[in-house]
Amino acid sequence: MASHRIDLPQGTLDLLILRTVALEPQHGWAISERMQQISSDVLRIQQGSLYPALHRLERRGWIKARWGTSENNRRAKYYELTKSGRRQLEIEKNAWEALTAAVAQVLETA
Amino acid sequence: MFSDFYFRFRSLFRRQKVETELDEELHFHYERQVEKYVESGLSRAESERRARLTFGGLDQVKEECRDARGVSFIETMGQDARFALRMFRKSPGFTIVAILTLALGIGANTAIFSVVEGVLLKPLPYPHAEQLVSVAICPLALDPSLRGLSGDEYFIFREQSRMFQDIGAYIETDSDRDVNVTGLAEPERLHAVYVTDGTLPILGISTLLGRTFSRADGSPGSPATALLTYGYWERGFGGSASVIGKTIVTDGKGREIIGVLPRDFRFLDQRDLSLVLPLQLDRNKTQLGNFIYFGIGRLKPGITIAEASADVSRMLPISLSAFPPAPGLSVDLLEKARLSPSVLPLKEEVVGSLARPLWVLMGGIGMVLLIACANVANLLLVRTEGRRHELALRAALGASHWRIAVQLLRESAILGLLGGIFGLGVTWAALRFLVRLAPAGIPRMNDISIDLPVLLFTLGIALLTSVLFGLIPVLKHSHVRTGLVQNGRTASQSRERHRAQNLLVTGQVALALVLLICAGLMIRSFRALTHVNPGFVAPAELQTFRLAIPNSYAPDEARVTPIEQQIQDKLAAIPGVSSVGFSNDIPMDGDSTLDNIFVADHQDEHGGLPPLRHFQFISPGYFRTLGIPLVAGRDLTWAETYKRVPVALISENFARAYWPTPSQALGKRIRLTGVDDWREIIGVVGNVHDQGMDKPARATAYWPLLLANFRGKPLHADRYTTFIVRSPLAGSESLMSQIRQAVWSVDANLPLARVHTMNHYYQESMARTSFTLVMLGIAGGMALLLGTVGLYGVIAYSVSQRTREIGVRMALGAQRRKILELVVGGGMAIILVGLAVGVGAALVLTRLLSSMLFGVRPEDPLTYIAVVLLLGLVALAACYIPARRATRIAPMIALRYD
Repeated sequence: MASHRIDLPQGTLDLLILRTVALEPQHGWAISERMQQISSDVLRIQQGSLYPALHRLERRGWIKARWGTSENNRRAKYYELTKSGRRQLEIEKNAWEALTAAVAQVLETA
Repeated sequence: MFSDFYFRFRSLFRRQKVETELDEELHFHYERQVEKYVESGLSRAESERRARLTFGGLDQVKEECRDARGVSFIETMGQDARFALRMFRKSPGFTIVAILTLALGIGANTAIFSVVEGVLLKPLPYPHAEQLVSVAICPLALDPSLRGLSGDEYFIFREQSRMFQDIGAYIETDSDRDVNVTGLAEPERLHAVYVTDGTLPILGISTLLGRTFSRADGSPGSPATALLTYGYWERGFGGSASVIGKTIVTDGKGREIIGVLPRDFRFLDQRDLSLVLPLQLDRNKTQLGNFIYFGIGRLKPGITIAEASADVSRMLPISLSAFPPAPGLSVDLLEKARLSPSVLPLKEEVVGSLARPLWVLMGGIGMVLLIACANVANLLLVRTEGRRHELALRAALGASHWRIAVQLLRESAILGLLGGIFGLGVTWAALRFLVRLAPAGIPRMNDISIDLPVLLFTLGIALLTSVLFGLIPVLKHSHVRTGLVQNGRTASQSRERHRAQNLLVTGQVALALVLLICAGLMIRSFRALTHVNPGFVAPAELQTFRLAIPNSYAPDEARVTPIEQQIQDKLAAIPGVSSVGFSNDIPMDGDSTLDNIFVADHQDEHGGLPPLRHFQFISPGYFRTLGIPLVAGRDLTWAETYKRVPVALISENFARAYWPTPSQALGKRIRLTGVDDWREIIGVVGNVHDQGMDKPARATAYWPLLLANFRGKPLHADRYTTFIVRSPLAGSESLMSQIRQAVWSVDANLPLARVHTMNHYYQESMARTSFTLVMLGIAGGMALLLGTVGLYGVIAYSVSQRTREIGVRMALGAQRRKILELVVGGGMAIILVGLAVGVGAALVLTRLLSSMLFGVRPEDPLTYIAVVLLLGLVALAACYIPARRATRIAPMIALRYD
């Protein structure tokens, strides 16, 4: 199981977080759970990088935080996408698609 | 950008909250993870273990989060500050000297700046003060320094201007027209100003109670009205609102009180103003050429001074054709006087000629701050030198050059800010001293205070100076790469290492020299002033006071002079009084009247108006009392005065302007204007510096008190007069009480005003010079002290660094004398360069001072030589003391040094 997991390339964590909170506000644990779930357990995010990333994105103004009540009735910090975050998500998504397309092309033809 | 800013500050100021939130957030994650494991069937303990594992180091995560939030910059600032304070505590000597030096420099600068700000920079206290201008006419061909507005111009300008919202005219009651107020407790002589109805609205002033002047109040023939100032309303009427509608008697004339002005009301720079009265100008009686008023205008928005001047130029000819000329004048003569507009910002008129001395002081005190900076920079250099090891260690442990530079600069900034805080104390003390010392003539003294702009200035220069003195050690030491290696014994100093210090000392010496030369030039000016013969003798023994005989007491003008003579006789009978005289005008009291004086059988060169001459009306005995010598002819008699014999006296320089010797003037005739009687010159008297010691003595004509056919009037008598009493008791209260009794024995309703000795006016006329002298002297003294301390410090330090070298030299047989020469010579080389640079700078900079100098040229060689010698000797002493100490070193000890 462990062998299936891969490390995230530099910078992709931000993109994934933005994408994850784009649907609805989420707290940190839910974000990591969801990423793991959607990627069929291939992507596992360390808390050591998730939380600094969340704080960094908040500082840049792409996501904002507010305290809410979680599914198990506890106080939790929810993150949601801001307007500029939505723009950033578009930009990063396009960049990522361009990159993967280019890498794929090189792999196929070379 | 904004969110970034918000974040940093939120993290900084709400650190506690941010920390708990972070804790709570991470804890939630942990618990949720545990729950998840428990749900999947693991035991509680196992779940917790696994959850902890996935977390890694909790503290590390937190630290990374803090980093991500971007607090580190500000937090390192706090760290640096705490570290700097700890370092300062460890070397209190250095810290105290540095902070005191900076406090002195910053404090003195802030003090002078608060004066500059209050007097020169702050707008006048009126709404849209930038639109306010002083409107006047200047007779360019006669005297470009004269300004005034005549009634005709007021009417035409007000009616026909295109660039002004409105124009008002006013006349101050200076000394001549203070009003006598009677009917209240005691007769009082009060300061009043007469204004046209537009003047107060132009300044944006409304009343606290009642109403301001209407057009009707300003029209001739309407009932007389008055406005009270707040101070007088409280003092004279107990601040009662029922004062409106009451009557006040000024100069025997009843006036209805129609309003009270607000507490913050200020009329230009008038102090102690009690009454504002309507100036009633009669359009039908207005004549050309009576320039006795002052004009205030409010420009339309966006109009420049140049546009306003052009507007006035356009209206001048209209005014000349709309009214008849005053007797003795003609439109032709007025045109020859080349009347031209003089429109100035109102602030300039209020501040007057004070701008230059203040900026010079600001510059001087700025130099003191530079010297102080150089001293602190030197101290810091030495200190940083001692910290090479620590800095090298930091660099080795991974601190970047940038980080070390920032740390050094922050230490400087903390020193600078502490200096600024203590400097404010210095400012506070200095301002109290300044206000006491300042000559009475300094305008806007009330506007000087430590306010927000002044505090910002302090903060600004504190930071600026810390960058100045902080950058030098940074430039030298933030690149310590070899520091750790170089920790062996130092052989002798390298030239390179002390270049920065030498440069600083050179600069200090040069700056101190410039300041001392400025102070020296002011001392020479002051000495020259005190050596000028004022024209009168022993001013300390002359008691003067002012008196007015109002219409109500002597409706007939011819009665005025006998009353005055009666008072003179009573005064002369006081024991100890040797002589009494009076005149409408006394030397140096700031008032004077000028007019064109014609000389019979003498064509003026330009074929037009003769020059404007100063004139005054005198009683017999005036010259004897003041001690003005009679150069030729004789004094006036009372008989001539009462018979209105057309005679006159003139000053010696007046006589010499027309005739080769003063006695040749006797029997010649002069007159005012073209229609007066010719008056025969019966005497020539010595010149008097009537405008102050620093101004040349003016050619003056002296008329009797009673004159027939004078300035177009059949009879002239002056109701306003200043008495001069010569007595050794002048200035004492006992003499004044005798004087009051003497005056009141003639008329108990006559208030005495402006009670001063002649010495008061004499010293006041030199006050600006002595003020500048004292201020520049203080700046020069501070410069000398700081410069010497700096020089001494550098030489002493270099000797201590060279102890080993000196020991080696002495062990090898060098004479003490040689060592002395070595050290002193090294110091003197720096000093000589500094002196040379300073002399060069002084030659350029003292030109700015030239308008404030008297009887001495800005490049006065004596001052330069004296100051260079003084500074050279002091500097030599500063080198000699540490040099002597160097020669006392025992070679063996020196060799073991380090």
